Amino acid sequence: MQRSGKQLSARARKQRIVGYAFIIPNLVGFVLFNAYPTVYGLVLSFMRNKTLREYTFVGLENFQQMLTDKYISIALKNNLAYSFTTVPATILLALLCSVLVYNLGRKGGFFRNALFLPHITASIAVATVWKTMFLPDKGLINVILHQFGISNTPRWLISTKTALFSIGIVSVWQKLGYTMLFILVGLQGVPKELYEVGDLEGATGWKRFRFITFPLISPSLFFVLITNMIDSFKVYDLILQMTEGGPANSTIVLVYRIYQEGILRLNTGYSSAIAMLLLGLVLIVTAIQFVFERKWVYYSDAA
Amino acid sequence: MKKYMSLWVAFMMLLGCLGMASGLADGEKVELNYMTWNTEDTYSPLIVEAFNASQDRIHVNYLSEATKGEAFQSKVMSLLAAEEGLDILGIYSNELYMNYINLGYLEPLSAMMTAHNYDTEGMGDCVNQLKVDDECYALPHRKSVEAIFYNTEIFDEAGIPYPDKLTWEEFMDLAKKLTFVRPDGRNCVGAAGDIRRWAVDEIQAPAAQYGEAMTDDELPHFKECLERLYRLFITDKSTMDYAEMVAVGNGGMKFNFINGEMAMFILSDFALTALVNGTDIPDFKWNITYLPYDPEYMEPGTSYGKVSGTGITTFCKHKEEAFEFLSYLCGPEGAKIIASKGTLPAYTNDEVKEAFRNSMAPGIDVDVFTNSKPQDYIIHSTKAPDLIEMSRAEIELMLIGEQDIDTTYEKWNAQRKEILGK
Repeated sequence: MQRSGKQLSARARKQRIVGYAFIIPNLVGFVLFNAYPTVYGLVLSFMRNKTLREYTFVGLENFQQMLTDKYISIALKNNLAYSFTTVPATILLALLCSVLVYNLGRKGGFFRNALFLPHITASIAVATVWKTMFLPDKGLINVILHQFGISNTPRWLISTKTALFSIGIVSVWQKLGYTMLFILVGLQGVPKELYEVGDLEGATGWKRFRFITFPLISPSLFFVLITNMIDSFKVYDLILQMTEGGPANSTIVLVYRIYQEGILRLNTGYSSAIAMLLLGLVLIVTAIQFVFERKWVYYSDAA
Repeated sequence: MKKYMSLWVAFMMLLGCLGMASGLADGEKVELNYMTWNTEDTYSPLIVEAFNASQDRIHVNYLSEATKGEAFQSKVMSLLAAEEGLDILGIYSNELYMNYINLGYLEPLSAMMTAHNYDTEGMGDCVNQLKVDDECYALPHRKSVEAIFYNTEIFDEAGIPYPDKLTWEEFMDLAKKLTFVRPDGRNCVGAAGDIRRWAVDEIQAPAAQYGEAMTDDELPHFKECLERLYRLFITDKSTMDYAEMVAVGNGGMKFNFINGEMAMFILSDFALTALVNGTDIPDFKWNITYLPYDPEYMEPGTSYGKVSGTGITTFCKHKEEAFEFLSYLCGPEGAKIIASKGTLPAYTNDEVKEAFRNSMAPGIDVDVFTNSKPQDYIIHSTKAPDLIEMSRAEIELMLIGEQDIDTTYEKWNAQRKEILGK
């Protein structure tokens, strides 16, 4: 049983102070660069700016405006479509790759590094290369598809039907290696004895994965699900560099709308309200994931 | 004694504060920060340098940022929000000009112009083009005029005479003829243009050639402009694929033009600077001719263009000095430097025209720019950002083949009227 603060020994108190001292730099950074801007953004969302410094309180007017802003509904729809397709695709592919890399043992090092490379490549370079590869006539992808006899090739970034999907492909490619690393760490933590016991019980292939591997890597999967989902809602750089929200607004997302209203049009009050909408959306999606956590995530020390 | 000492210190501090409030110590210069976008780096630093050399009271610091990736706009916004560090501001686009005015960050200049007897005679109509509700918030330092740049080697290769004062019909026929595949597999497209002005963001520009503005009740010739684009992009495919245009941008298109993969390039005079300074292919042969025209409605040489202005921020502490610099930048001194770098300044006189002519290699018909009659295509409305955003979406749908001309025009016109409250 833990002793209360008053009963702590001088040594324990000193340790506690040292502990707090260590987290102070991070705490200061968090308050200054995360908490304060978020609270300030919340306050601004109820304001309309006359200049960039003069604000008047308008209550819920900005939020009401969002209800009639057609670009917000397009952005919201795009955000949800983007997140609920790219995140599962990234995690499934990362899971597959991590199992393959794990089974390759030391030989898997090359593939692990190769898959991680897109994550550390500058997104401007990624966007430029993929933009060229996606060209309808001269792009590498369609040239290859033509070689396979496919004549009706997609127009990728230049069709309202495929532009968001194309950006999703780049996103999956870019995040695959990073996601794979976390799952790989989870896989490496699975005790080999469990597989031996499974072998004795006759568990092979899918059963082995379903009843041994999956439960033990589920905390890693949950972590990558949460972080990738939050990250996907914040998508912006790829869109700015690859389509600038086009064609015909088919790739605008909430962060892009925040940028358009806040930076280009200088409507900081309204853009803060959109930021709050995004924050609320991310919180709801994250909360739902935590609600379902206990249904599929297994923590070995839970018992 | 201590009491007198304290009084003396307080008195000295008060004097110090008063000194700070009143301005500068003897011999100290007024410091002004001037910021513009980085494509003006060709001439703006030279103007600042010349101005500083001519001054013993004012010193201007030059700052510039890239417009790519919106670095310029982000930096400007930070400085505007801080209300310091920015006295003179280059206006990158009409959209931003309206935003700055709406937020009250640009100083109205009409009163200062009257007080200084500011002579606008050498600027033609340029000052009026920057007026909003009869107030001038910026002075014009340069203007753009659209024309056709053409690669003479491609015309020679195809055995076609060089273009001269083409009608739009002739231009489109020519573009079709000049779209071909060479025996070695290399493509050539007939024509393309600055992606923003020619096709999407500033689609009102071609209509402006007819003297029509997006804020008019009706634009009878706008649909014809759409039909031209449709023919080039979709029917004849005599221009680059829209996807490729977006992917490679104006820089890539310039590369294609120089490398013999594009015969005609509709651009403003600003491209002269890039072609003169940026072409490291010595054998590249090119020339300029007038923008195509519609013989039923306009004279040959009618073009479209716009002015770029520079303003003073409302929080600038030395507005008189800032106006002095602005007068230099936009007046004959600045104009001569701008012209010497192959860019058309807003101010023109014989000396400036000569400097502009001398900036080009012999044989380049640079008088096309000074002789053209450009129609202003700036959207003089605070609704400009909404109009541009809407137009871009509708026109893009047409250019990528997802919407026909009639639907595009009807949707565009209905939304335009809705935005303008007509």
